[in-house]
Amino acid sequence: MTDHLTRSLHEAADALPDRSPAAAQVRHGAERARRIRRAVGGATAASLVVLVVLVAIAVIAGSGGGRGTPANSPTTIPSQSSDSGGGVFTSDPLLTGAEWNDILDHAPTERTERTTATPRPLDCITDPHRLGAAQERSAAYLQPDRAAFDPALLEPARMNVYALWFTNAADAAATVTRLRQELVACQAQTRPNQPVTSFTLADWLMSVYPRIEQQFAGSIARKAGASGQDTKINAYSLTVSRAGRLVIVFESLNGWSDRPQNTVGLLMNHALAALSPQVARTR
Amino acid sequence: MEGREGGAGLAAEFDAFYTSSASRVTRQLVMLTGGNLAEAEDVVQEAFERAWSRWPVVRGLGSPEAWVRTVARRLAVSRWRRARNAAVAWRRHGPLTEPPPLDADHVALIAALTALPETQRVSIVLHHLADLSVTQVALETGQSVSAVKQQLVRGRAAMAASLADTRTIDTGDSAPSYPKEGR
Repeated sequence: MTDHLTRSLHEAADALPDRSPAAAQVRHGAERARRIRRAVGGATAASLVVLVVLVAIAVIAGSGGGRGTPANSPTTIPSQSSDSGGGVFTSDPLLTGAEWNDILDHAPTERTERTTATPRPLDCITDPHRLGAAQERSAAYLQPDRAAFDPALLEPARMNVYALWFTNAADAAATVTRLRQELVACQAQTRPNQPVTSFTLADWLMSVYPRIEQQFAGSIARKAGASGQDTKINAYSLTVSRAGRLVIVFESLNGWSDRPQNTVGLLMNHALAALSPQVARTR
Repeated sequence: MEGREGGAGLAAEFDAFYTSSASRVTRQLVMLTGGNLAEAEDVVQEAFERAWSRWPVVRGLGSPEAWVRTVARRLAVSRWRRARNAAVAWRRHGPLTEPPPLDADHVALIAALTALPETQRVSIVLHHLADLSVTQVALETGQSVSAVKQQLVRGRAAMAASLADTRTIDTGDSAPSYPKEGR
């Protein structure tokens, strides 16, 4: 039966003019929008990066640096740095506690919330807390779906950042290699209800940030269901970067691949710039 | 668009997807946004831009078109976006060129559609214009099948009151029938 309402709606819709731009114009628009977002969001992203780095380092400085110590609240930030020697995390290389608190008080909460929970692995790589780092700090974040630049509108994202400090650079390098192999193995895992729809692996950061000696950025997208009707996905992204003995691991679940990559690029740049004296001294 | 797949291949694939669906999604959005063609064009274009930005993921979804439509719909219902889009559309298109006037029946139809609560309007448009089954509407809108059926019944009844349409609604789990030719 041809439904009258259906027919009427189609007729009304067909009477509308088609003014859609060319596909190439849309693609160019997307690239332009991406550049604009980077430029306009630079301040916000920089604040986020500063927040992430400072929280991680602040917690490290505040808690003394035992292996396996999870990230704690910013209230552990010391008021003054103290250099007890031995590693980058035992001193405060960046700011005073007051300066940190000032930044934390102005956290861009409309974009990212730091959760009270400590990081837990988001997919199938080894828990970075178990990678044998001599010192480590971590933090967990939640990307709320109300985020200003949230382009997905489908899922809130979860993000973890880990800063790992190894006693020698060879162990750090082996860790990066191991995580890359685990990501490749992960996408090969068969999950009947979550088939992989896309897998990417790139090393682009190394050419952008010369201080990074070893790096990869990968993502695995899986269908969230087997019905074929789903509009939800499971998108896991992993970016690992190394400079000397320092390895920063950034992973996200349902954070679109361009976002963590952009964020991590800025994060690494900021972290390595800030920590480079210590990295150079202890290398 | 890093990755193993060639950029040119992805672009060609996206272009084919866009060409086959942009006009259709835009028209659906017109009906969802109360007949505002410029706003519909704007949110649909932005949704396609976002789709291209993450095409390696979107292309693997069961229905990329549903993803674009969902993103466009959510863009359109944001009041902030509405206010902003008006300015953006003005800048993008210049003084709006009015489309050819619709006939009185179409104007009345859109007016009746616009008067519906949003949930009913979305269900009506997705079912009767996007040709989605009730189950597909439920999946796309995140509602239960029974809720969608209820909205279809109520929306159809409300529109019937406006349009003097006394026909019964098909709330079965099948897309409404409509000749596919010429669309």
